[in-house]
Amino acid sequence: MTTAVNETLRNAIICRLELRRQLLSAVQIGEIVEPHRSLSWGRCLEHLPRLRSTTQFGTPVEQSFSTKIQRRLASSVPPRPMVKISFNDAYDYLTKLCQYGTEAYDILNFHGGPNLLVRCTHRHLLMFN
Amino acid sequence: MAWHMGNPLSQTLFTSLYLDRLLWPEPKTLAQARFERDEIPEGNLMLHSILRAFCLGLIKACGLVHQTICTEHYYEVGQTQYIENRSVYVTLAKPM
Repeated sequence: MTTAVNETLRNAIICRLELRRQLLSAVQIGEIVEPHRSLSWGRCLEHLPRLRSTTQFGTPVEQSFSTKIQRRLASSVPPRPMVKISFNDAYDYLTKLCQYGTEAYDILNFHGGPNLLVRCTHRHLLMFN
Repeated sequence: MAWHMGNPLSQTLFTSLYLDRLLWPEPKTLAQARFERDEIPEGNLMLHSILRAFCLGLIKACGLVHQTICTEHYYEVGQTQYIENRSVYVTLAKPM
């Protein structure tokens, strides 16, 4: 028996599953640097606006999380509080992560040492400003 | 995202009851990584199919990120440096 899901929720769920799939593709490990991985980061960026716009249709479920799980870890450290970040902070960070992912592969498009230095300096300034 | 920002596993991913059900006891195969281990669930497609797929994708992506950082050459100058490296892992040089 399947549960009927309205169109809006279905699109929101599909968006999140697609984003997960593209993120997984983007972080796959390979032996050599492959420029096409920047495409996966770019596709992640495409899904972000719809992710943000559909967040309002979800409901937080605090009961899905617990710090009691830490008791099972092989550590003598007492349980530490859960780290909670706001949706906006998480969204901004994910956006930057995907942008850095697409830009990082630009390093393969340089011609000559001085050009590489200029490009790296420029990217460094953009990332940390 | 809290883990990607550099916060510990115990305070982020390992606080999710859903991830805990998938990962403990440690599954040997992908098929074993289910919320209900004792029987194959027949109902509640949303939970056992969709949420499970999302959680598995989340776990695997974080695992690949962790593996990427651990296999790269870097010099730790302290905990802060490790956290910074993890949060901007895409800038690490890969062997070419």
